[in-house]
Amino acid sequence: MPDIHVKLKGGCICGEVRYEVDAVTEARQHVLCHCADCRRVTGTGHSQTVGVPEELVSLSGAESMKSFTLKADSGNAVDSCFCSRCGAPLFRRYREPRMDIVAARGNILALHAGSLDEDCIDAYRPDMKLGLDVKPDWDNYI
Amino acid sequence: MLRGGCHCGNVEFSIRGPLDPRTLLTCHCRDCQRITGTGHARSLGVDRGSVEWTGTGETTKYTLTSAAGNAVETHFCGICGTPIYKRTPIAEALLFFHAGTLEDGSINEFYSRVEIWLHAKPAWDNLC
Repeated sequence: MPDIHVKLKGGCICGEVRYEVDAVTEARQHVLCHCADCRRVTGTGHSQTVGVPEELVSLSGAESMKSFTLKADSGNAVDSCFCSRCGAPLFRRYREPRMDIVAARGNILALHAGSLDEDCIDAYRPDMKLGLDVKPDWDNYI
Repeated sequence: MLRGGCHCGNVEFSIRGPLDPRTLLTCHCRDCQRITGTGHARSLGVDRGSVEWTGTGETTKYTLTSAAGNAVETHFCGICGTPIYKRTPIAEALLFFHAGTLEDGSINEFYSRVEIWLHAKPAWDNLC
């Protein structure tokens, strides 16, 4: 069983933008979401993200990162952040956290699980599924 | 006719069918994980000639070298970041569109017929 409390780090395809979560925290929210926004952000049938407090995340190459603000179904603004050079999605920023992350203050960054490095990618552990009513028919497999 | 596009309307497309089932792919390679931010890409390969671009702008391109040594272009919307399609010289006539960019009325025309790079699949990438 992989340790889900390892330090999280990851980045884009071209290596320009990198992130690291400074503390090994249990305040994580592992989500899989099938909503239309998440399908477009990823180009697949769902997003898979690990939510952590933004204050714990350090970025390098942030000047190459671009963000696009989406209006979520809840009405809240969500920033979709990606590398402007290679296009890889990095995380979404929730400015009005809807997630009950323990002791979370301020913004939440939902890190895209596919952007995690090999040595910590298995720390993602989906424990909440959203948007199941709009899941594409084909988004099932073993 | 399949229709799709990005979040912001910069890139929109329509695809004349029929789809070739041999090109309906799920790929778990590390590059597809990073392109999508998930454990796999879902893509449909369609002939360039059957695509009509209807948005206001064009895709932004980044070329990577795949683990197999092939050049792969990843095309995305430079404004909102939506991944749109991939292209590789070894299948030059085909554009591999990301299934998640299809509109609601088109999205279930896709299905996954072929699954590749299973050895790189993350342990958590089993749905159902």
